[in-house]
Amino acid sequence: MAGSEAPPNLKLLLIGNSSVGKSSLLMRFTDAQFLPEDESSATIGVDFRVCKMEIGGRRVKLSIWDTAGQERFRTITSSYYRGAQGIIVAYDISNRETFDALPRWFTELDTYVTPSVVKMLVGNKLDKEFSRAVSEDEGRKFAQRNGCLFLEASAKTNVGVREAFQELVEKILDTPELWAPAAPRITSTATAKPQQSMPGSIDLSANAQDNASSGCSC
Amino acid sequence: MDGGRQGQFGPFLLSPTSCTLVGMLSQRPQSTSSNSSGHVQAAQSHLHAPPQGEVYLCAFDFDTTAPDQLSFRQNDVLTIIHKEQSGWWAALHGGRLKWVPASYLTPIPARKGLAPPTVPPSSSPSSLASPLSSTGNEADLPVYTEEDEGYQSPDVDPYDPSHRVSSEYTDGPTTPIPQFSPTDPLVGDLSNKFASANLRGSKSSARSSGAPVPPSYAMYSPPSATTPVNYVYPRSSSSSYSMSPPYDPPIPHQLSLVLEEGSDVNSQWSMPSMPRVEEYAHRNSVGSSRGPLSSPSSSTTADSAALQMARLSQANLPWYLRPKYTWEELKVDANGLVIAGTVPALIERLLLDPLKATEEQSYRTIFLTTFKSFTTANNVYDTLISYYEMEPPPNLDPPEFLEWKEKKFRPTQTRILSVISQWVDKHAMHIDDPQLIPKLRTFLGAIQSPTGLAISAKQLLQTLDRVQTEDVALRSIPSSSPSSSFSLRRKAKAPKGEFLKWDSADIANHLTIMETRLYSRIRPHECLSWSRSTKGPAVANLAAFIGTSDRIAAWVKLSVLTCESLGKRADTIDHWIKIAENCKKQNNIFSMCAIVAALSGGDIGKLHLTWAHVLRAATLEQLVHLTDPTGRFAAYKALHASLDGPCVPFISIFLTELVHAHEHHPDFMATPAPPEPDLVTPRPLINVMKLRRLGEIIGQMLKFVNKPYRNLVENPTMTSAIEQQIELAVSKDAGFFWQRSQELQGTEVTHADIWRNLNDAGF
Repeated sequence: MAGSEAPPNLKLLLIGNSSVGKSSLLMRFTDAQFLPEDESSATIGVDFRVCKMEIGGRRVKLSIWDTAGQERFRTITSSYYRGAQGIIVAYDISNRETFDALPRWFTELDTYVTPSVVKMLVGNKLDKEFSRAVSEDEGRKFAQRNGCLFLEASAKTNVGVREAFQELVEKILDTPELWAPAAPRITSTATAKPQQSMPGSIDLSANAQDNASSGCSC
Repeated sequence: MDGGRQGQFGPFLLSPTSCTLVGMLSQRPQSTSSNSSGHVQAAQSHLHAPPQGEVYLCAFDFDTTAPDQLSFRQNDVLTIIHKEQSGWWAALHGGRLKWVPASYLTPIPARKGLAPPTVPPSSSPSSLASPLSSTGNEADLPVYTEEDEGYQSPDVDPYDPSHRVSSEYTDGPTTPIPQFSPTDPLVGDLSNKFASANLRGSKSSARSSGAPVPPSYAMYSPPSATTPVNYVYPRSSSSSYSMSPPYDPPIPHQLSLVLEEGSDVNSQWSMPSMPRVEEYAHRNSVGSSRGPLSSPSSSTTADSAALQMARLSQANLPWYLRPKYTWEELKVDANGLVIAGTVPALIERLLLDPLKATEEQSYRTIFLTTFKSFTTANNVYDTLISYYEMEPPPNLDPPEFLEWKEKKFRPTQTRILSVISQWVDKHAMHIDDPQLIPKLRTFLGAIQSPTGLAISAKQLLQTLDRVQTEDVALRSIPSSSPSSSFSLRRKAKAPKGEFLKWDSADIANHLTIMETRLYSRIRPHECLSWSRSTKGPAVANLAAFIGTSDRIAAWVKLSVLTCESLGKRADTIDHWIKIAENCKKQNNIFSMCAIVAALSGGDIGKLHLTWAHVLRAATLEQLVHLTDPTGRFAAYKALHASLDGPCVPFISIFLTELVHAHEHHPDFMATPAPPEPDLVTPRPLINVMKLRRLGEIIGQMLKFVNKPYRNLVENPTMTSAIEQQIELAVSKDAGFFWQRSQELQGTEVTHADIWRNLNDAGF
């Protein structure tokens, strides 16, 4: 890390209906392979993960916050939005209901975050192509109407997951007002103690150099 | 051989031979006692002549910190110089002799010519059993008793020694032993040679008198009866390991109370074991109070040593005391924690001696919390009850039968009552599975003998009565009883007029009463289901509880956003902050969070001019901090951990943890590929690690369920007034608050402009 400027800390948030696979997206992106089955229970149960990424020669540190399981807490999740630069709204392409709920989530976004926050719509479970209930075109059009990025992905087969995060982060980096002035504040909220509090979590410094160019290095 | 000397050298009782060897180990061969001079000669010749040892392969890792024992790794090769009948052999290592556990070793087939004969010499039968009653030490380890006499003759062994030799010493695949009785219920479902080899090994070990004598058996060997040349049986012990599971050493499944009295493990024996401990202690009363099974090393390693002992003794249980399941059906880690198992194995495990006493309680709790994720309550109940009247294995000798009855049957019955007792008392069988209660009452009522069990059954019936009446009392909060003299128990005033005039403490109290009522209804199985689906009757109570968060938030928004004047809005916000503070004081963190989220959320949060007039904004900041997700809700978690009394917890973080644990851990453990393709694959192994994690989270979530608020008095008028307001707020459609908030923001800006203009104009 010596020689290069400290990476901006970005806070990303994953929202969407329950069982659209938010946590799977997160775990797929941060872990590539899941922890061994008998891994000590102490390492499991993190609600957000820290991950390092290199994009166009710039290093960024991502804290990704997952709201899985809390979908019924409409008001509680508001505390998650504070300070987020990027939001991934996920739905399940094989479950129409999760797509139809998107307007509700975007209303919430209007309420809680500034318009410059980068949003990305991700249609997950592409592996369930055979039971697709939402066409790619529909998804894309919805994303365009709401001014956000769009991708279809499968956490299960690891398709499009890295790309989704990469594209989102690129867009954030292209929007300096999101992170540059707010950097000190974000540092205090988003990365307060990501490492020490999670024994067994990803060691950023150890892995960062190896495959830094290939998206998330964790 | 005095007791002090025994204690000094750990778990194995020292015979003259071992004295000699100890002398060797200490490099003082001359110092051996005179009364065993013959042995000295033999041992010294071992020491001074080039070692004539046999070469053994280490089948497993063995770790020890005892200076006179040798740690080794799997596949190490050791030269065994001397075989002590205790099961501890002396290995030459680095020019010194060290003790190693024989059962961890396997002969190297290529050197089989060097292996000692496998037929016990005729002198051996007396060596183990006969002096038992006089030593007084055997009671700690009731594996061999006088009854063992019955099967000491090699003739009793149904297995032809030559057959044994051939299967043990050949490299090539061996065939399952045909004479292994397929009708034996203990082994009937064993379908592969591993299982049969295991059992065969142990059976022959149980039947041949001098056989595999692990350290824990050593106490049964008489202090003086063994001779240095009497070291011939370890074969069968080795054979039981030589075909061991591919992934970990054959963790034995039954602990036969090998732990020394007063050890920390012993002191934590949970209830079902207690009678046994006492029983054996009583039998042991003639002997020294300190059992020979003291930890072989310092007290810091007593625990691991005890574990090691338990493991060894369980591996050597006679076949008729073994569990039904095979090693393939239950995986246990090095510390005795259950990792995975089939449903029948997991249920049976509840009834077996654990490797570690502490593990028994934790396993039981996890099982009773999470079993609904893999089986039904009826199945668990019926299976447990079926063990209560289990049939003895066929073809037992009378002494074997007695031993089975004493060490398997009765302990199992005791444990069944104990498990059910915990189920009733701590896991609310009567709420989750009321259909079992009549059956259980009938079952318990029929237990008349033996006395111990009858008493337990009666106590259990009383527990049943208690929880059923208690439940009614617990879940109802006193409704305005005038008799209360508690200062806290003041009756709430009936709410009058507008919201701002309602007493903030009364509102907080009633929110707490309402929430705690819903919270106490949440059942652990609902939390289990939550990670799979957040809808439907399977999670009804949990969803209802969570739902009140949004309902309260809606009320907060409605009350603030329907105020036309800015000043009144600010006052209302202040009033809510006061209510939130009161909730916090009562540890009703759940309602507090709902109020804080509504106030700090977008709809109210963007009314900046209103907030400029709010007096308690700083207080709100502190409350917001408590609900901050940073560091996995570190601030809240610290508070949660510190609380012990009544509380309505903020559970959202646990819900995410449940989902993560669910997604992270597979439901089933991958089963190892069968060593041979024609073997039957074991049934799926339930991933107990996952259950463990889920159980932990659920335990956190429901930590306060049985801790009711006792100092709150409900005023029904207040409750219904609150409910009325909430219903009104919830009836507004989703866009209402947003729209209203936009309007107010617009008005505020306009008013601000007017103010500024007036200011500018000099007013």
